[in-house]
Amino acid sequence: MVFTKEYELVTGRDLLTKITSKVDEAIKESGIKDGIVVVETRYSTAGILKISRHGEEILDDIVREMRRIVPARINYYHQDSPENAAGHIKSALYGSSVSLILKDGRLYCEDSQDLYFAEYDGPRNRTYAVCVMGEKA
Amino acid sequence: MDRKSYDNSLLRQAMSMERYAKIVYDAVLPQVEKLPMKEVWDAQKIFISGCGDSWLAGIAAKAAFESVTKIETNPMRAIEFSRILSNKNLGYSPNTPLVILISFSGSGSRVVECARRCNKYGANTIAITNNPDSLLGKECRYCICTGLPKGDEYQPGLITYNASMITLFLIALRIGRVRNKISYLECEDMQKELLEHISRCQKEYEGFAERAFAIAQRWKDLKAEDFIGDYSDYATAYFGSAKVIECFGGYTTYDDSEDWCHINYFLSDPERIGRVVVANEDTPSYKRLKETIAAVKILQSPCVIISDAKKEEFPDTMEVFSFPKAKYFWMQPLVQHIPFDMIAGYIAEIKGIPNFRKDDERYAAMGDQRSGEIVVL
Repeated sequence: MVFTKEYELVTGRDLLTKITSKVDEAIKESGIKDGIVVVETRYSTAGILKISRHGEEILDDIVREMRRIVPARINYYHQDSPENAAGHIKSALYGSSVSLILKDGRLYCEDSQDLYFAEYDGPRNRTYAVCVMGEKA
Repeated sequence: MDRKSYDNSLLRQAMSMERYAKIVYDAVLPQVEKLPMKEVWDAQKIFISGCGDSWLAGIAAKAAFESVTKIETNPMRAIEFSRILSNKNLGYSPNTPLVILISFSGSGSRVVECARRCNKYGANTIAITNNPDSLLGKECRYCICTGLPKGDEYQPGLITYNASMITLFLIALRIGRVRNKISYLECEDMQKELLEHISRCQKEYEGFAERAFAIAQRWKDLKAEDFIGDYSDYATAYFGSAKVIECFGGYTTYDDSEDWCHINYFLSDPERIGRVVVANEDTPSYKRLKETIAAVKILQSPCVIISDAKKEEFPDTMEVFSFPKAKYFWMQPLVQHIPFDMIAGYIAEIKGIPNFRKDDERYAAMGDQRSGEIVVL
């Protein structure tokens, strides 16, 4: 069985938005207990990240390091805007989807990590989808 | 009097503003989006220059530039930029200042002179013109063509003035976006609002024309017209004043509210001077403008107020042209010149005076005095 649900959100500038509860909600709604969960955003200047929940400072570090590795520069070939050009690269490097294992109705990573929608060129109106594939108990 | 017998160029241009705005917007946006990020980023200061209406478009766009780009922006008369401005203001750092030069034909000697001066000292230049093959178009580093159809009716300037403003606003948004002063969402919303605001206002023009015709009949024999406006609305006031001269050769003056209270207030025969005040609620000097309007009332001058405020804000003896409020205050100059354009057009028709005094050959002789000399200081 395959169950897909789409969510909307308004992002901030360079913001990580926690979406773990929405993913859990989709899983519960699907009724699927074992299988695979894919979370994906269709945008090329945004992404989906799986990040440790051990300390808020980790989020700050991630945002800071992503900016350091792919800064908003004026000399990219893509000339929309520095934020936008860097956003495309961040999305390609860090990924716009994650695949997760679902076991006994729970995410395998649930105890240690959260899921985040990563905005690289916000604020914008965005969507992402949660697709649950597997068998109902 | 049948209003329809007094049709005129300014009225026709006003009535077709929405259509032309869309043409300009569609032509300009893809060109503006190609302005390279590096050079846009490098600009530490912006100058906007041109002659007549083109320079006024720069004044009208000052608030937009400063609000959206956060860069100091100086509209400057072409002769002041080309002959008087000190060299130290040009090319003191790579690609700076950014100098935007406006000329519909692209052939004005003074703006070409400005461009050559920028090239000499290393300032970055963008031309706004309807003729990219013109001297100005070729002299500037980048050229934005306003894309107005050739051969249409553009004199006295109204559509061309709007084309310059729309282009300037879109350049400002491009700069703001590149410099991350506005987000993608904000930029998109502002771009959309440009055309939507023009469309919303367009719905008012049939009613405005009716009232403008009635005012024209009352004002046709006045001694002079006196215009008042502050900040970007100063451009609207000045533009109205220019139309008085271009349309029927009338006597006119313009000022900001503060100086008006110090100087023009004392003009003689106030009851024979038509006063036009541009007073928008979001103008920082709105209270001073209202004091000015109160002074006009004391003087018993016939008065037209152009505003985005409610009519009840002003004395009931005054004729108020109320505009829909723009979502972004800096967009108001796009349309607020329309009521007086209509009045000026009708006065000229009622008086039977052709635009630019074409009935008097002495005025045509001006062309003979032009040498076309370009001096690069």
